[in-house]
Amino acid sequence: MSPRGLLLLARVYLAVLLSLCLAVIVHLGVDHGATVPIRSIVSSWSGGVRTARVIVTDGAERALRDSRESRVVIEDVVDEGPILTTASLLFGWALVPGRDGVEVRYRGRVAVATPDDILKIGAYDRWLPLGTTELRFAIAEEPVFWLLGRDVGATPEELRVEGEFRRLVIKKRGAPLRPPPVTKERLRDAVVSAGQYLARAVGPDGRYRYESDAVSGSESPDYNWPRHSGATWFLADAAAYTKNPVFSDAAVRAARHLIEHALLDCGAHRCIVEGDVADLGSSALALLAFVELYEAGFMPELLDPMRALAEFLLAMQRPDGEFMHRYDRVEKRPIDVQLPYYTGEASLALERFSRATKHGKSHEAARRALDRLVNPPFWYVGWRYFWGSEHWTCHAMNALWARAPNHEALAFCLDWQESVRDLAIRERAAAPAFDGATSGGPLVMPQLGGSSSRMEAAVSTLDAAKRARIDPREIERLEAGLRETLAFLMHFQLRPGPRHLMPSPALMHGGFPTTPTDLHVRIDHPQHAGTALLHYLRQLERAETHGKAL
Amino acid sequence: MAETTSRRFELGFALGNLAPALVVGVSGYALPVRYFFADALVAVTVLSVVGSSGVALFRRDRALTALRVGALALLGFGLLVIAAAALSVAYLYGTQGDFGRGGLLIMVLVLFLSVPYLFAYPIIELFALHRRFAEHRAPSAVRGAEP
Repeated sequence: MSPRGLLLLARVYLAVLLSLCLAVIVHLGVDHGATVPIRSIVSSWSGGVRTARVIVTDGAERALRDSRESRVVIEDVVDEGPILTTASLLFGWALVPGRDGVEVRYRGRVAVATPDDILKIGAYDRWLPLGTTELRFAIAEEPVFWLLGRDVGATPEELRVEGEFRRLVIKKRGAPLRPPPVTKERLRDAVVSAGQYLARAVGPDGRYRYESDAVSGSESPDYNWPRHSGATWFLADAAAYTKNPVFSDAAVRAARHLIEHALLDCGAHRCIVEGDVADLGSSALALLAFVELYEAGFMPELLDPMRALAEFLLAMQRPDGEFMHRYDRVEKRPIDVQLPYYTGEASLALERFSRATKHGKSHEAARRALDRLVNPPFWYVGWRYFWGSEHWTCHAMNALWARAPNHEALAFCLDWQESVRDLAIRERAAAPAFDGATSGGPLVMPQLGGSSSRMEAAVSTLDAAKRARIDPREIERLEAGLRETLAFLMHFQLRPGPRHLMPSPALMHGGFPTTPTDLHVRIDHPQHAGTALLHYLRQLERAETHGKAL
Repeated sequence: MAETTSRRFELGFALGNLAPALVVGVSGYALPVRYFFADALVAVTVLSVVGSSGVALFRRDRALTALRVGALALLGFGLLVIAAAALSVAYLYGTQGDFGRGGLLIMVLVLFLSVPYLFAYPIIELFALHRRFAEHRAPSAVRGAEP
C-alpha cells in the first residue's frame, strides 16, 4: 500500500471513528448538573422499608404529607436519557452509581427504580463474575430487573426482552452536592460521631460488632484481631481527647477482651493470637492500643501486657531491622514471611511503647524497622513495601521524628502523598462530591477506607514536614490535598446518611461506609478516618494555641 | 552487498513481526472472558502474522508480499482494537460523563501500551516495504526498456 493510500485510509478511519464516537456521546449524554425538575418521585419510608410512592410533576412538597410515621423523600428527575442495551457488560455501565435511576415501560405499565431503591437493594457498585475473574460494575442488572419486574408484574427475563428502559438523572431534594469546607467544629463533630459509632459497636464482652450493612441491618460473621486492636487504639485516642467516659469504657472493655481471650503464650513470650499461628500485626496494634490507654491513665494495669507484647515484637525482629510476620505456636518458632502493614505497625507500636516506658531497646528497634521500610533494594520493583499500603510507615516516621528524624522516610511519605494527590478523583462531572477521594479508579466508586488510611498517613506526614521545616509550598500542597480528602470523608460519613433506608439508623450513626453507595461499615473504616480527622484537628488546635502564645 | 542488505531487511521484519504477534496472542489468551468473535480475530491475526513471517523467512521470492500481508493484518487488528477502545470510551463518557484526570491517565496508558505494537510498527513497516517494492520495480523497468 502506498503512503498516499495509507494516508487516505487513515483519514477515512479517523473521520468514521470520530463521527461514531460523537454520535454515541451525544445520544447517551445527560446533564448531571441540571437542577430543574421534570417530575418528582415522592416516596415515604418507614423502618428502612418503602411504604408509598407517587410521581408528580408539581407540588411534590405536598405529596404524601399525611404519612406521619414515615419519612418522606423527594427525588427530582432533572434529566433523562436512553439505555442502549440490557446486555450485562453495557448495562453495568449505563448508570452513574448514586445519581441515576432506571425507568421501565412494560406492556403499558411503568416502574421506576430511584437511586434510593437501588441503594437499598445494594445493586450499585457491585463485583460481578466476568469469565474467570470479577469486575466491578456500576450497577448489577439482575436485582434491578427483579425490583422493576415486581412493580410491573414481569420476570427479569420478560423485562429484558420486552421492557423499554430509560435512564433517569435524579437529584435528591435537600442533599448538598458538594461537601462543606473543613472547619475545627466539623472535624470535632466527625471525630465524636466516629467514636460514638465504635463505642456502640463494642459489646458488653468487649467484642466489636465487626461489620454491619446500614441498609439491610445484616452483620458479618467475620472477625479480625488487628482491626479490633486498631479500633481500640482510635477509641482510646478519642477518649483521651474528648474525656468522654463512654469512649474510655468501651476501649477498656475491648482491651480487656484482648487480654482475656487473645493474649496467649507464643513460645517464651505472649502474643495476640487465635489458633496456632500468630501474626505480628495483631500484637503490634494491641500494644499500640494498650499504650494509648495506659498513657491516658485509663488502664495503668496494662503495663505488664505491654511489656509482654513488646518483648514478643522484639523477639520477632531480624538483625537487619525487618520483622518476621508470623509465629508458629506449635513449633514454637517465628516464620520469616512478610506481609503488608505489619513492620510499620510494629515500628510505630514499639516507638510509642518506648516513649511511654523509656524503654531504649524498643526505640532502637523501631528506628531500625523504619530504616528498613524506606530503603528498598536496588531491584526495587516488587519490593514488598510500597506506597499503596504503607500508611503505618508514615505514622512510625512521625512518631520517631522527635528522637530519630528519618529524612528518607519523610521523603518516602511526601512522594507517596504527591502521587495520592495526583491520582485523586477530581472534576468527575456526575459526582462533584467525590473531589479529593484518593482511592478508586476513574469509573468505580471511591473507597472511604482507602482514602482514610492515606489521610492518616498524610496527617502524620504533614506533622513531620512542618517540624522538618521543609519548603512551605510543599506543605501547602500537602495540606490542601489533605483538607479536600477530609471534606470528602466527612461528607459521606453516616451523619446521618440516608437514614430512611436503614432499619436501625441510630446504630449506624457516625460510621464510615465502604463507598458512597455501599453502606457496609467495618470497624477499621471509622478507625482510619477517625484517626486522620482527630490527628489533624489536634494539629489545628496546636497551631492555634501556638499562634495565640505568640 | 545490496542483496545481503535486502535480505537482512526482510529477515528483520519477518522476525520483528513475531513480537507484536506474541503480544497480541498472549494478551488475547490472558483475557478472562472468552468471546468467539474476539478469539477468532486474535487467532486470525496471529496466524496471518506468524504465517507471513514464515513465508518471508523461507521463500525469498515471496518475502516482500508476505511481509506486507503480515503488516496489513497487524494494522487491521490495531485499527479494530483502537476503534473498540475509542467507542468504549465514548460509551463510558456518554453514560458516566467526564470522569476526570484519572480516566485520561488510564486511556493515555492504554494508548502507550497498544499504539506502538498495533499502529506505529505496522505503519513503519508498510512505509519501508513500499520503498523496497519501488526499488525492486525500478531496475526491472530499466531492463524492460532495453532492446
